[in-house]
Amino acid sequence: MPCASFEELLIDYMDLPGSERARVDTHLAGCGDCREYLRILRQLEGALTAEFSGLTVSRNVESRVRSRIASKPWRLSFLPEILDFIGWTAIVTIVFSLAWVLVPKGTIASPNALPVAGASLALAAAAWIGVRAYAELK
Amino acid sequence: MACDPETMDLEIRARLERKLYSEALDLLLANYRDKVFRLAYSILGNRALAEDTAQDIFVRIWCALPGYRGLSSISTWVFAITRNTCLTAWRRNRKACALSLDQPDVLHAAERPAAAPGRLPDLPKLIAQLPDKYRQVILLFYMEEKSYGEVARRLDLPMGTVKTYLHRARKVLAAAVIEANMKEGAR
Repeated sequence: MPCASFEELLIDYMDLPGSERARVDTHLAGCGDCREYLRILRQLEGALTAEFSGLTVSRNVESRVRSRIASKPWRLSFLPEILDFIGWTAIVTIVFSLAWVLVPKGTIASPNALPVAGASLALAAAAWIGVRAYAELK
Repeated sequence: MACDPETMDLEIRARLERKLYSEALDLLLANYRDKVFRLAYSILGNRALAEDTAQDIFVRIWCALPGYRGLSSISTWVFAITRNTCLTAWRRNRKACALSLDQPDVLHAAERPAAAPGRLPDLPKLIAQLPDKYRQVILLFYMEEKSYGEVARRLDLPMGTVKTYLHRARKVLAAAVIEANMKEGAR
């Protein structure tokens, strides 16, 4: 086992700055256990590099992907558009509901004007999202 | 097609904007095939499973191409799909993943000489014993030409965390080698 005060430094030996490395080298010159530990770390480094460096996938993965795609008809999902629609409608509705509650009565022409305006805007948002979704799918 | 990754991502984006999905997929396969596989291998720890999952990932990418809105970079998007698909595959194949790096080496076990004192014991077996997060980082680090930045980007981790995990993984591996050598020496 290496000396406790040098173990962490030896693990990062390759990345050590010059001054620290010189300190470790001085210690290594007189410590067989730490030299053995560094030898194991270097051996590991070499083995890991040899085993995994530049590993590539088999070439037939590409053709398998293509054949799976060819046999899989594209089904476009409307889910993002539907979620967009729900979100925007909720935001518009909340804003107008709050305004209806917070604005003092009598400051607007008709007490029903705000909910009507809110509903209209919600419908407009829905129409806009619908048109956008249709354009995306085209 | 020699091209730097950023230029390639711009090429892919341009194809997607023009709704040339098939061409975009060709570029994605050419440029991300190995990267996706390596990330999958590091997460799953099993080469055969990583190859199968890489196929699933590209099929998922194909299905998601029309929904790509350009909010994140192509690489971020691809690696996010990779990580999510791998987690699903990991849950589905928990048992195979638990065996982890053993599997491909079972095939070669007979060819491997027994570890002699001073020699490394079965490396994939040692790596398979590492905690998941350390294993992912150390595998990806050596597969990706020892780039801390690449590992951080692929696994969506801070660079400091990558360095810490790598340090701890090396420490655990070195301790395992010492222990194996001591056992071997005692025989």
